[in-house]
Amino acid sequence: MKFFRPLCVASAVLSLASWGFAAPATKPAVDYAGNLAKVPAADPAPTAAPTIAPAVAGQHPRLLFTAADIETLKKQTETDPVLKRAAGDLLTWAKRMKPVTEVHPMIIRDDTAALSTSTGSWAGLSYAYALSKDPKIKDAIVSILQMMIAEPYWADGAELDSNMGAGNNMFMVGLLFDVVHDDLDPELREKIAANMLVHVRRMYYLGHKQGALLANKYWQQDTQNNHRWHRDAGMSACLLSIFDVKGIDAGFMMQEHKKEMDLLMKWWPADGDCHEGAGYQTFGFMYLAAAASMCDRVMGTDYLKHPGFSNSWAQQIYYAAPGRNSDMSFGDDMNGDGVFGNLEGGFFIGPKITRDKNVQAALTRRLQTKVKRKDGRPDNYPWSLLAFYDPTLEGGDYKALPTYKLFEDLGAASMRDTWEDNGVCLTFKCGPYGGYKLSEYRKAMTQGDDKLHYINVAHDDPDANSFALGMDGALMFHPGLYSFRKITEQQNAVTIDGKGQINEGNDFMQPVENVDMRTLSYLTGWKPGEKGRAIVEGEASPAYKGLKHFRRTAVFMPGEYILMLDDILGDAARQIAWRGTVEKGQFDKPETGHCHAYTKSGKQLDFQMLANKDFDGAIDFMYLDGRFGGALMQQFQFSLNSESVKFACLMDPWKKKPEMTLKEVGDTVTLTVKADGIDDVWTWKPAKDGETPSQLTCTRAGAELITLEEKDKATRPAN
Amino acid sequence: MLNMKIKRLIKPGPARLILLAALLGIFGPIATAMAFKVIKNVNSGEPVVDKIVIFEKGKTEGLTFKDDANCKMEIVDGSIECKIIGNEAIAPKIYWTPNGDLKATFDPRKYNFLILTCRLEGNTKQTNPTGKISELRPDNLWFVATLFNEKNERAGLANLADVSENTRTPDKTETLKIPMVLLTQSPNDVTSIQAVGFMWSAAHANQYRDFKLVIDKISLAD
Repeated sequence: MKFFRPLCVASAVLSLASWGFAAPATKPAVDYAGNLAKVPAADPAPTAAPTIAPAVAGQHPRLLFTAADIETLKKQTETDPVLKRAAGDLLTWAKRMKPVTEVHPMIIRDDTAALSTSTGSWAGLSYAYALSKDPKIKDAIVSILQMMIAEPYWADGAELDSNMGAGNNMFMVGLLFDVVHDDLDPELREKIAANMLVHVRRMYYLGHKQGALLANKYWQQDTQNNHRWHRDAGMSACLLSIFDVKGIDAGFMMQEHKKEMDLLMKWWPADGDCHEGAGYQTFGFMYLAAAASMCDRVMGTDYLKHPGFSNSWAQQIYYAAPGRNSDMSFGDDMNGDGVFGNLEGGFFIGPKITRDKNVQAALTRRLQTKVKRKDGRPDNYPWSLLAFYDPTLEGGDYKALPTYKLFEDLGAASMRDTWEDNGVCLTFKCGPYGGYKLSEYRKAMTQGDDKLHYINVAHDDPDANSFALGMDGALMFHPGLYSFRKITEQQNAVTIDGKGQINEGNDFMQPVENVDMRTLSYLTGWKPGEKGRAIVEGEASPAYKGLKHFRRTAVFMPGEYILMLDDILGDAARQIAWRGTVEKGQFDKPETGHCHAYTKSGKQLDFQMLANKDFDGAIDFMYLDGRFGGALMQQFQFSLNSESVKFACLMDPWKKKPEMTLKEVGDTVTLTVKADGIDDVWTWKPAKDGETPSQLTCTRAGAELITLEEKDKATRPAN
Repeated sequence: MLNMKIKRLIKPGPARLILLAALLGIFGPIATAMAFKVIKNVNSGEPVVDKIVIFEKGKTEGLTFKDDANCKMEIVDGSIECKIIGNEAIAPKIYWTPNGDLKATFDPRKYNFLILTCRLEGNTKQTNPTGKISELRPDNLWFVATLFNEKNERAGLANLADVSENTRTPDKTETLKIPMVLLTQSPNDVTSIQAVGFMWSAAHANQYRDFKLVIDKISLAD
């Protein structure tokens, strides 16, 4: 697989800008006065302002930790290896930190700098100072605070003081102010607090209330947008640290912020997962976890009781590719190797809440394998571990986690044979754009007979009934990249007459207008069995033009084989094309359907493709475009012109050399799968309607091994 | 004998019932697994076959160039040579006149590869803060081939290093098989191409490019 970085790096201006989807080369002039005119001089009187929880009233620090927490943490950093290293790495860096004296620093000019510097680095000074009380670190903190209050704007751009960078800068300022609050000269303290309130109010009126003159209100329309969570972490940190500072009148802002957090919690899926993929889940989650933690501690709310915080880790762990430091995720995810950073540290809040030692072990293993630089040298442990990692959860075993999981809100499932690096992982997805909860929110927010409320599904793919297969460090059937031309052709799914699923082709996906997207693609069946076996099934025909029925059934038989069954019925003769993107592919025996995918790294996946009708096979190039680099891949394409077809694909990741036969009598297909120790007969009957699972039965030596029956409907989140 | 067969059909076991029902069409048609017919395989190992030759060394009739002072193009010893100097972005283009199968425009999607036999000689002179001038030639020069449609919009990009055998921008003559899929990725119109060209982003202000692109062949192939 070749990655074509120049498309996004060397020729970025040439290529992307001229195609019309990149930022313009020069930023438009900011209408400062026009924006600030949208911020009223005073707030209304609050009607139900929250109060500070008595336990922390008048006390600082109190946002992510109290003085008592730090005393406990100090002891833990002496004995727990993870915290010891996290604190050690942080303090080594922090003690070298010199006072910051920049004017118009990059963090206020650039979102990425705010993410990486303000949150990624400087926010960690709060823990460094609390743990060490080193006056040099305090000086550095105060210098940053003074620098910030000297700047007229904390985000100098089109979304003046209300963009994602502003959220990160506010998050950092809030944490730093909180930790040095008691050490500050009172006059300076009040000055900084007053300035923080200015930025809280700008974020609220320009951001949340959509006053900013930027026309595109891309993050305010729904509650699951990760950009929104960045802002709310900033709001929490600033507001909750200044609320009871002398001279601060923030009752209305506190009231509105609580409403905002209540709204986020109401419409966040219980799975805690992210419809944009595992990559964007990482991008947003830590901010939500931090905001909820701060609110619970200071306002006395119970946001952390939302099951999403307990469950969010699962998307990270179940979409981790075996033997790689990468995801194998749907949505806008580059699925490339990455370093365990501050944002990933947030997921430790899950086992901290549930006390699940095995989850803690799985996350810790992920931390330890991913904290590496590109050249293999160890990287620093992120400071966020000090906030979210609970060292009292010892003795867990990552291998004890179930090897499969259904993600109800996403309409997706992940199945693997083992948690070891040489494992095999199959992922399958057939859910609505945005997931179920977001569709529910969209419906609830729609007023009268107007068109459905806008929701942001920009990072979703037209990927209903798609799958991906990772194996022993390689992505054999590739899950795709962060594409700027979201088309089904790039997914491991099917196209009809060369076309994919509804709304494909956009650089950023848009919601389907006036259609409940839950009716377009959904899981129909889910059946976990013994020994890690599982069957998952989806229906995606409403997402296509010209299809009456597209049922895909994935069968995971760990250690033995994988079956991918497709039952496709059109409204007329159509060109039906099965697509599977691989690094490289080859036909072995077309007359028996045998093929293999292979990689430069030496991995090989044999598979056999059969159908109930004559069909054509092709291996063609497939370019996966990616925001941070594209990849020249190849694609298996099995196609025919027909009103209907049933494909059966037998994959052999465990080198058992199974052989499959297919026979159809009437509408019932019988498949045999034979290999050493395997003599299976599968009976496959079509689903009776668009909602009911197909009927699938596997017998081995006369005994039923696993079945999918009409009663095995995949559960969907209740409305 | 016939009676025996009839008796078996009259008093059949379950398997025979199924067989009989199938024979009588009660269950509908019977189909067995179908083989597939290979219609395309980019890994077949078969040699690439030229379909349309746009330019071949020594056959220069009908070619015209769009260049500028930073990327002057001319014919030298039957090859196309493009002298690249300075540090500005460049986008030289090669046009042709229709000739036989070579029409004024072509649809690149009908071909698997753009064949490009070429080399990029030379290096970059970089003036360091000390005043010392060093000569640079990294393996990957991020120098890309491209196609231009009738509106002179780019249809796609292929970095020469990425499509070479050793992932280096070739400094010696090499025949590159560029998968056409790379050159048709743009949202711009990719169905009607009127020029083959190259693009290079601007270099740093302290750098001076001194290169010569030598092209011996351009063709469309399967």
